[in-house]
Amino acid sequence: MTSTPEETPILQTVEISRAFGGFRAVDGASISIGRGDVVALIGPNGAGKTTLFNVISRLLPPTSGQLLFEGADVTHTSPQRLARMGIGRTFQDVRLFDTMTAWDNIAVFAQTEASGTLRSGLLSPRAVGREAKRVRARVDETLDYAGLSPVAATVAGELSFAQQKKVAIARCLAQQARLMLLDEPASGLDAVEREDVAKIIEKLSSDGVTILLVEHNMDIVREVAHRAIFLAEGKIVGEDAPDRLLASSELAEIYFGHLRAETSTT
Amino acid sequence: MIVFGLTLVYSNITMQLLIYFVVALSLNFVIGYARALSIHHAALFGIGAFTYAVMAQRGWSNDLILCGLAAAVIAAMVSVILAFGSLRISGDYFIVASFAFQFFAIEALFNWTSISGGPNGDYGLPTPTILGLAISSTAAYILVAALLAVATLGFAIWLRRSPYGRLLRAMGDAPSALLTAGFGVLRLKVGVFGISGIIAAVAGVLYAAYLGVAQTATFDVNLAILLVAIVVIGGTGSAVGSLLGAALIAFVQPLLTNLNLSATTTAAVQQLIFAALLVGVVALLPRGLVQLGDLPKLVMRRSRGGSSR
Repeated sequence: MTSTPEETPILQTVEISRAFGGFRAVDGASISIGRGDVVALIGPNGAGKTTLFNVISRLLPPTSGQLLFEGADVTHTSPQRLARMGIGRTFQDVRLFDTMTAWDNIAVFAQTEASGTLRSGLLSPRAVGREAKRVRARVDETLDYAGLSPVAATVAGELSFAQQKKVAIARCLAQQARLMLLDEPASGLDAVEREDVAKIIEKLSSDGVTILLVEHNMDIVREVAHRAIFLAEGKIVGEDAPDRLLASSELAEIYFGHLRAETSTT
Repeated sequence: MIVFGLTLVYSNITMQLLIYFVVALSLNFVIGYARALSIHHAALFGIGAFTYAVMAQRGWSNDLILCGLAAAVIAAMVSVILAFGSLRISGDYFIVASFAFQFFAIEALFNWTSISGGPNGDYGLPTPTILGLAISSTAAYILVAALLAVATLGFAIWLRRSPYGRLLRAMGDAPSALLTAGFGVLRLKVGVFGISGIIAAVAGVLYAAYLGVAQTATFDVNLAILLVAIVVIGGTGSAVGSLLGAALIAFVQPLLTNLNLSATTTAAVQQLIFAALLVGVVALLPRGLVQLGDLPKLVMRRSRGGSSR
């Protein structure tokens, strides 16, 4: 399901960089994601994967380079506007609204922009009622899709880790994101839970959502991704079908060599 | 005479209770929702009091609504500036900045004697009116204060249930995630700081009108910390908690006065009581006095946890 050349990619980064002081966490990365693609971003720890996510969702402005979403230049667009345009993301550390229920967590992502103003409460009661009804329907539908209906009324901070990760994905779904950036959706989960998350990702993909994910679990990458991009020291060093990319001895050395170094120090 | 004296004491307690409740609840919007530990609320309360003092004493207006509006505008401007500040600096740094603002605002007011009357304050303020009706009886003051309290409580209830309140809570929990939901944090923060400051200032107008005096010493750092203590002791994010906290302050003060201690001893004993309460609540009831009903359960859990270890 890779995109044809004449079709505008849903996401493009052109020579994008992000530096922290003198350290270039992302260094001239150019990627292109076609509509409906499922692409995995892999690489050793500290390769700049999460920084690239932060730049694409604009939580961090890029130091240089260009960011295009559906062909439009969004290099200088605010993160909240980008979210409204259709980019959703999850966080490695989940970042749910911990004191709120799963239902309310998802409702925040289903609310209209106008609900962020005090004026919204002073609108006609009928408009408020209509909007509440719309949000309710969307949230219930989303919970059902992600298999979270039984825990709808549970406070997010008290959910299991796997459920929290599902709520995070469900939030992107409620916001009707066309591109979802999933940061390690399967990390910290057991085999059964991982399979569950993989199924949700595949379901999203078949429903037309484009997915870019960071993942260390290569079984998941092989299972769900059509393509993998290998990032090392902020640079893109390889891009291919996951199996072929992972078979490359050179990249395996970067990846597993790094892991070896890491395990030997701990 | 005794009966009259008693009713005066009781109406004083009622008035204190209502005013403290309004001010504490408005502070709770900032502490409980935006999760910004704001120490400058007493200054905003004081801004309201001096707005009334200046307007009434110079004969501009002694109408509570007009003075309330003027105080609201000033407090809103100050709060918006502080809200911007809280975006730039967060956490502990904001607490320090907020504390500094409280300190310098009252200090500046103290030295601006043409406004504040310096150490003596503005006294002998004329009695207020509302839409031409004179507020002269204690019952009338209590009625106005009760209306203000009900309006503030109504807003708190709306915040709890509305989509807007949901966003405020989300901002307190995880601001970066709220950005990815498509909501800017600035507008929300400015909104909640503004509303909170406006309510405190309006309460200040009523307070000065009731007392007939406005002194900077009333609104100093001591009150600022007392207000935070009311919110924390009562329960952050809980309207009932703010009511319990305000009641505590309103009743402890006159009870101590009844003991006929010297003024300095009374103040010291009061501070001791609140310090003990604060430590007790933080240790036993992390969510404040509203959790009081759960106390046996919490103690049980704690002792069970201790024995299993």
